[in-house]
Amino acid sequence: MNKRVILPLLLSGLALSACTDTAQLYNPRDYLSGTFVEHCYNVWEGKTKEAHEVVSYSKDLDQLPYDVDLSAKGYFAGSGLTGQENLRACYGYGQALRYHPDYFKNPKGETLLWGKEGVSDIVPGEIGGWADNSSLYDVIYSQNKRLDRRYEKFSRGFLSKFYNGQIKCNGWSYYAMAVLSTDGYGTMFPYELEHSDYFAMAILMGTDEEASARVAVADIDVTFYKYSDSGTSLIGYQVNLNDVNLSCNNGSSNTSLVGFTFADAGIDSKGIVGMSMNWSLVEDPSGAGDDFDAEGYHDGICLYEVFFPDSTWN
Amino acid sequence: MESEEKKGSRSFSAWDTTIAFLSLEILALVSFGLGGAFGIRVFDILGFFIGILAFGYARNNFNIKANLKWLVPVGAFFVLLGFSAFFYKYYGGLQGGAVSVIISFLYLLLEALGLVGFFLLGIGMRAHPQIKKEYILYGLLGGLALYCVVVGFYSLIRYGFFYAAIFRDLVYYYQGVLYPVDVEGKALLGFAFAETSLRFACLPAFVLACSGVGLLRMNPKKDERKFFLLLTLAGIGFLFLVLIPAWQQLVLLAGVYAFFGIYFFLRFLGGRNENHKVYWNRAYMVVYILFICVVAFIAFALVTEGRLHIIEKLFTAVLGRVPMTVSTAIQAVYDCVYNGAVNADLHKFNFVSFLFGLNPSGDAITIHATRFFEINILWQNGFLAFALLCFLICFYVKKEKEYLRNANKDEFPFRLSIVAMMLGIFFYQSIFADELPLIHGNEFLPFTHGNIMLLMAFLMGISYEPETKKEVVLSE
Repeated sequence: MNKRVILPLLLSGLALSACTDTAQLYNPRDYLSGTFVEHCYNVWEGKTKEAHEVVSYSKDLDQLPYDVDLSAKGYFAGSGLTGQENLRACYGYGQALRYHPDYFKNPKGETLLWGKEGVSDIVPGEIGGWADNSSLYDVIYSQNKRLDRRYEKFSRGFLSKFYNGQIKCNGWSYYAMAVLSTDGYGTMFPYELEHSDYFAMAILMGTDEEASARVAVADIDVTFYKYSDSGTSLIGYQVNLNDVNLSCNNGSSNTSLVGFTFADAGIDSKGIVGMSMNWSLVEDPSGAGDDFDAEGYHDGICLYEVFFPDSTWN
Repeated sequence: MESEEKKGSRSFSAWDTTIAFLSLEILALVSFGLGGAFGIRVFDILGFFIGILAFGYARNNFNIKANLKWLVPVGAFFVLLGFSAFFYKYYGGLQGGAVSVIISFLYLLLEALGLVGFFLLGIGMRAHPQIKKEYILYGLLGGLALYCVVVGFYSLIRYGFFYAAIFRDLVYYYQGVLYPVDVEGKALLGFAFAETSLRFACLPAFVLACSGVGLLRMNPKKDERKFFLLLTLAGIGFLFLVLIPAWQQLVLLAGVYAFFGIYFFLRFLGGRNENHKVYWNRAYMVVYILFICVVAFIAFALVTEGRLHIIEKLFTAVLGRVPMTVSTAIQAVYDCVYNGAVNADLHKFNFVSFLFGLNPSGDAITIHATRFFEINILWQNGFLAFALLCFLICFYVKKEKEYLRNANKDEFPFRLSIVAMMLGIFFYQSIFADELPLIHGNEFLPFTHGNIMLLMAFLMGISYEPETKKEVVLSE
């Protein structure tokens, strides 16, 4: 090869290379606003939007009964306001724990906590700053199950806030979560899922209505995507969670754990490469609506964390 | 008899070669920063022993008695950089029983031995009969250049070209936290790459680029091979900075070159003017005035007991705000004298912390880490080390001038590179020091315990002009 060509080729190769650290850059004001509806995140990555229009599988799930009935199929979720526990107890976590106690053990066999007085779900570092949370890995559920702990690529991108183990605001406000309008969002994962027993997420119903704490009810659709046999398109597998009870408060950070096992949903978790989520409001006693373009007060799902606990990825 | 002499000569030569090889090898490896923090501790002890052996070559031309008055403060400074109350406690002394105390003591001992060793290595390598002086420079620069090439390629692959300019004011998310991309760079820490501040990441490249000052006094036609070798090495450092581009570092680099431009101008004037000493005296005067300003600044901070209202008014009037770095520096000075530890009783003079460094408890490191290594030495190593540092700064201004003045024509460019690197490290750390450089972490990486400080000790040794002439005259 002509020697004069080698250097430009080398430089071009570098220029066209991954540039991993600058591949996902944002304006610092993107998705961050003091106004609730302007904070909305509704990006659909890749071909998730098209695949979502024509899902090939759909399954409706209702909430599991509060009393343990191991034969029941459904999702665990909800605010304690409508259950037997109070708002701060995170009813969804308590319910999942009752049905699947093995999912919530640390390596020593001790039960992981949703939160802890004086400890919180993250190390109390600088607000919006990096902090070493390793001391909580065997204490707090979210820190134990966070995806970026074992799979580094989940650490990058705007959606890394869904995989960092932070399930409450802790003073971080909008930095800690994303507000979803009914349009929802879709994402492609940096890995392909090999196996996961269950899916879960830490969410609450955010609002710009300043009434006191209440419970809002929403239908939430979670769709998982796998590649088709040809590998050129995505196939959607949708799970419809009916009448999910969520705590709703314009300043609240009391999230609920909402989720389901893949066995109950009838989906083989192997091969999942992306997911999307959209929702619609069923009821809010305050009268706030789910249309971000409409006048009046608005509700939007605040998504803090996405879990595929104890999963393996390729 | 003849064969014995030959045999003896061969044996001596082999020893020389071994020492020369080991000296160049350790110099290059330390320049590269092999092994990170752990590697440095290994090189500390190796450097000490090789330094002792290499120093043997300087004995004939080195009157220890005559130089003792200068070697004592240098040695004391290095010992105090190692042994400080701050680092003793930081590495676990007084906290976890006998094992922690021993480990902490060993850390400090290694640090002090390493600095002393590399200083002696510098003196010894200069006197070594088999090491060409330019090879010392190439060994040092080769390690730095290799580091810059490895990290530079990795940086290009991860960020792309000119990322700090192209992606200015943009941010990325890492583990849910938002970071500006234009103020970070890559560094090789041990055997892993890490995201660090640009200030930390650019130091090796900056030092490398400073070595190019020697080119200003090299004839490319006469010394073509040497010229292009030095040009390539210094160019790698320069390219590293340009491809980011690290504007602040480039401006400072221009400042270093401008400094030597002024130096050449003064030498030029001195050659024509019989009263050229006047110019040098004026140059010295500038250095001393700057030094007095620093001392006055610290004294002011002490007198005002850390209250920033007067300085705040001053900065607010000039800049419209008080830079965080200024208030941090004054607070560090104040706490060093009065507090002894963060959150301790105010206005209580703590003798130990004043002389030997703060207590590293609580948030002492994050609160006090400044951009000025002199202030960092004050609160980490105490006033004694700081005072010796001030003395050595003035002392080396004089020594470096002698070092350049005594050079022959062939050696002069290489000596220029040595002095430029020293000056570069000094300037850089006086403005851009960063001891908490990790973007996604909070590890404390003190400058005085890093590889560039070992190189600084080496450069101090190699540019040390021993006082031998008077002794020779007296003995004759």
